[in-house]
Parts: sequence; structure tokens; C-alpha cells
Amino acid sequence: MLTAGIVQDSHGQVRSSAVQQVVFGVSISHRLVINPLSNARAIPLAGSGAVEGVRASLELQGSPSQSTKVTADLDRGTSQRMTVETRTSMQTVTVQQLVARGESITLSPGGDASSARTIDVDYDFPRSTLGQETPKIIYTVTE
Amino acid sequence: MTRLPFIGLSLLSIISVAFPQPIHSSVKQIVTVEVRPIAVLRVTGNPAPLMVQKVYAGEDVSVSDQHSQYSIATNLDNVKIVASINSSMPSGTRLKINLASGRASSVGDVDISAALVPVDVVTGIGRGSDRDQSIRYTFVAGSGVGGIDRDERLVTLTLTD
Repeated sequence: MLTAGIVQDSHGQVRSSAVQQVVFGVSISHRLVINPLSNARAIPLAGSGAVEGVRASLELQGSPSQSTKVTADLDRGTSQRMTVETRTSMQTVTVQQLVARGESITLSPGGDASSARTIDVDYDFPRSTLGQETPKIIYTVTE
Repeated sequence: MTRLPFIGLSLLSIISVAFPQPIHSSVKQIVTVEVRPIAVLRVTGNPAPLMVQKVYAGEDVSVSDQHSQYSIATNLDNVKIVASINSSMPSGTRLKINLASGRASSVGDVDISAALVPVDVVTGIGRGSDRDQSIRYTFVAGSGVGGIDRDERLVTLTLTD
């Protein structure tokens, strides 16, 4: 919108004004940060050698009505710390491990998930569920 | 002796016909001139929507736009541009404005989140014009801010003495 003019008010001041419309908003979003394994417990696996870290950190966005899901490829790790940053006040974080032969486990976050905006999740890879192939982990954040 | 006056009159008559006397006609007009104080400010459109779409724990997230411009012209000395907002920004958010200036002093980033009363954004403007200077808006959302539906504010820029 364009406005321009010359206005001299009763005090003799000369003014010229223009008005701009500023539109803004904040989207509901989640962000998953997978930290390196250095701060987690390491449980060596038989025959796997040294524990490896996660290859990449992940970032995702989600809307209030949708669950957000991402898959991370892990090297043979044993324990992991996951940080969930979210703009929602209520959420459930589900960590699901899928192994090569199709077994899965579901872990829930510790702490007060209803009020915290940052949630740390510690979980282990149970030996019994690990196959020979690289496991995949699915993180799901829902409100 | 009596012929001389006759010859003289006849000669005058011939001269009058050949060379007519000029006729003078004059009017006067009063021209009043005045240079009035002039101050003109124009902007080019509106900024693009400022949408925050990320979150970082413990950190503010900001998004900026610098697509709109302003131009000014004035014959006054020491004028300034002030900015105001029609309604305060939501809690936990901030709106900042920054007007570049080629001929005067830009105040830099000015927080206008609650500027219901105009605040200075450019000062020390002298006579002349300054064209196509950039306007940058920055919207900041704190880490504790939840979702905010699309909203809008009107920002008024005023060139004033």
C-alpha cells in the first residue's frame, strides 16, 4: 500500500506518512537433535568392535495435527541421547528401533514430557534385538 | 510668406501617415511567490510475510525481510523519520525495523514491538532527496513462544520536522 502526502498540522509541523503492513507468524515445529554417543553409556556388542556414533544430526518440522517422523541410519551403537526441541507444550516421543529381521521395540521418554520443551531420552540397544545389518531408528513426535 | 505654413502642415500630414505614432498600453500584475515547507515520504509495497518455522531450545529464532524501500524529498533541514506500530506485538516476540540512509543517520535496528508512540529511525535529514533506501524488518520469536497464527501489524513511517 502506498500513501504519500504533505500535511501541515495546526502546530505548523510538516509531515508525510506511509503505512506498511507487516504479516508474521510462528509455526508449530519440532526439532530432533541426536547427540553423539560420547555422553551415553556404551555397551559393547559381542564381535562388533568399537561403538560408533550417529552419522548425522536430524532436523524436522511438523504441524500441530501431524506426527513427525524421521529415520536415522546408525552404525552399531548401543546407547544414545536424543534431545527433542518443540514449540508444543504437550507431546509424546516414541523411539522405535527396527532391526534387520523385523523386530522392534518402543521406548518412551523419561522426565516430565508434559511441561518440558526439551526432553532428553536415553535408550539402549538390547543385544537380543540386534541383527547383523545396520539398525534403523524411527523417531515419532506427536501431540 | 503665406505658403510656408501650408507646406509645413502638408509635410506633417505626410509624415504622420507614413510613420504613425506608437500607442502605449500597459498593465501591471503582482506575482506572489512562496516556497512552502515540503516533506514527501514514499514506500514501495509491503515486506514479505515473516514466518518463523524453526525452534531451537533456549535460543531466539529470527526471520528478516528487506524487499521494500523508501524514498524521501524535503526542502527542510534537520528532519527525521519516525516509526510506530498500531498494536503491540504478541508476548515473547519482537519486531525490529532498520532503515538505511544515504544522506542522514540511520539509528540501526529499532525495536518497535511496543512503539505505539513514534520512535526515531533516521535522524539528521537535510534538504534534498534520498531515493530507494532499503527497509529491513526482523521478526524474532523466543524459544518459549508456541505457535502463533498468521497475524499482521501496521507500521507507520513518518517524515517530520
